[in-house]
Amino acid sequence: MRHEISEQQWIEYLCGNLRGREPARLREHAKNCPECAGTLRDLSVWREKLADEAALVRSAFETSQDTLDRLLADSLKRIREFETGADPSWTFREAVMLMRLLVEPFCGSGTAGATIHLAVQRSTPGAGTPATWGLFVRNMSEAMSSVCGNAAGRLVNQVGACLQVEGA
Amino acid sequence: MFLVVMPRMVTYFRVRGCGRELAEDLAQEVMLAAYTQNSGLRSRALFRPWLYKVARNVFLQWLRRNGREVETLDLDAAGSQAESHSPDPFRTLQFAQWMAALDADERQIMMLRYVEELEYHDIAEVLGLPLGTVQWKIFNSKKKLARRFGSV
Repeated sequence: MRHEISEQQWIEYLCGNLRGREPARLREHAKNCPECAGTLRDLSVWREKLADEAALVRSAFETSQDTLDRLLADSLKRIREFETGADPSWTFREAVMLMRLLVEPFCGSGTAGATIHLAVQRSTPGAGTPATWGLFVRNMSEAMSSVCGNAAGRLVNQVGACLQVEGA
Repeated sequence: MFLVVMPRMVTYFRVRGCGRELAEDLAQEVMLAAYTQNSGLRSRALFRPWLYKVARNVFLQWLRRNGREVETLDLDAAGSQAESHSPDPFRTLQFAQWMAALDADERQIMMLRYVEELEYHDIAEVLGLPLGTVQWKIFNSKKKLARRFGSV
């Protein structure tokens, strides 16, 4: 652009970095100069077009929730492999307590206790055998989904997958 | 954090021409790097640019491991080279056609600005460029697109 206004000044103007009277001077100039007004209009149109089309790009490559769940599990596996040697495991009991702390604030103590009790029962194959963590998480997730909705069930599933539990 | 970052990382690699499986694999490498290397991060505000810097390095390393000689600047056009056997869905989109009309350095900035939605100062951080250069390149790219494709 010309007209005693440099390209750098227009850039600063568009980025909102001009101070004092400068923004008003440039605005005034654009009102009276068809060439500069046209260029500003083009820039504004292209900013919107680019934003709109980029949104279409993002949605074309959207990752489904199921894929995300799978990727979360895979990533955690990689992290655990990387950390072999360290022992950050929780006991089954501790992990159940953590799950309880997670769900209690939004479903209340009674529901938390009941869903955990149900999930433990369903995850214990026979008398005297310990419940398995993966199965427990699935059962608790199902129970939470039916009581508090799918989002809560999914949360339980995702947090459960993040916990490393002894013997899981 | 994972649920927010992971889809963006998968998209980052997909729009650079990687197939679904490869994109997911590279995105997981980024997540692992983010987990193991984040102690070097100076502040939380720098997390996004830092993450995209990691993604860029992961992609560059993958290309080199697989014998692809790519100029760092032309990383965004490396798509077809990444997996030449599979069709690249990004190329069929209008946005990709616009990007093809730009130079490599302009394209990488525009992709980070519009697809990855990074702020100007974050782009400067990711690419190690002065902020003014980023602002100027974006300004110039839009003018170039308007000249080439018109304003409507």
